[in-house]
Amino acid sequence: MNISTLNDLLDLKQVGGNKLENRIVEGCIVGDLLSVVMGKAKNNNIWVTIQSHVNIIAVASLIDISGIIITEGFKADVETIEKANEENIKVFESNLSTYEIAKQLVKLDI
Amino acid sequence: MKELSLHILDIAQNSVRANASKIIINISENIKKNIFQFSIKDNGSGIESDIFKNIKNPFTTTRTTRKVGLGIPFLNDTCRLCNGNLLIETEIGKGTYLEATMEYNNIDRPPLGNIVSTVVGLVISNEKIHFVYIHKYNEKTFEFDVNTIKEILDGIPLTDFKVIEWLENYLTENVIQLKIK
Repeated sequence: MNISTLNDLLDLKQVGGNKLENRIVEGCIVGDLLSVVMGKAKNNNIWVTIQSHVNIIAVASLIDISGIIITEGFKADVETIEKANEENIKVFESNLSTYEIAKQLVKLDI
Repeated sequence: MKELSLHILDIAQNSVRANASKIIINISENIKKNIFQFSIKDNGSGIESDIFKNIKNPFTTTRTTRKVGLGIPFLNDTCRLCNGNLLIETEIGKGTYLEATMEYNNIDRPPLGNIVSTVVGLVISNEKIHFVYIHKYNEKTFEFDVNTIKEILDGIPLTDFKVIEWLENYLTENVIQLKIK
């Protein structure tokens, strides 16, 4: 599945990386401890987290994931959005819980 | 990082890379004041001002292999999450001092973790560096100075298997003793 389809299906709010090419989504990583995500995530994963600090963009740029979904109604910091645009990382926000997002991703066979 | 000792290892390795000949690791657990604090002081090369002014930003790094450095940003994040702060002072040619402070009982504060492995690992992989490890627990203090050990060893390398084993036991015992009333 590509990421814009995912965006439509999950009713996410895209806040960063708007102008970017459409990326493929393969698999998912769930985690709020950045150092662990850094070690465990795989290329093209979609990352589901409550973290919204700019450090998530640094981690994402290292592991080349397809995008980040910030859950539980948390909002990306201004600096996070700026860096997401600079670094070509798609960032979304959702009011759903991490669990709800994960359930939907499972339904979509990701 | 899951444990604060991993942060300590990470920061101390910055000091090693800065060619420090002396590194002092100071851990203070003050339960009465609800403060957990650690500091790392080195006499290394110091941090240049253009890097230093953005040191807490993850897109600042001295690495040449990639453009992102996360050691200090991660630690800064942990401190802030635990209602504390991260203080860094540096002087070119003199060295760097880093002090991380957190609420002791904050639910988000990671445990210290295996500090003995961290200290032993640092000591034996950098034999020429003068490491000092000070661990305070309320009023009690344990101080370990690698030079004292080197004098006793009188030429036996720190990497000798039996020395490593002794170091691990000695430090473990003393850290446990600190926490016994």
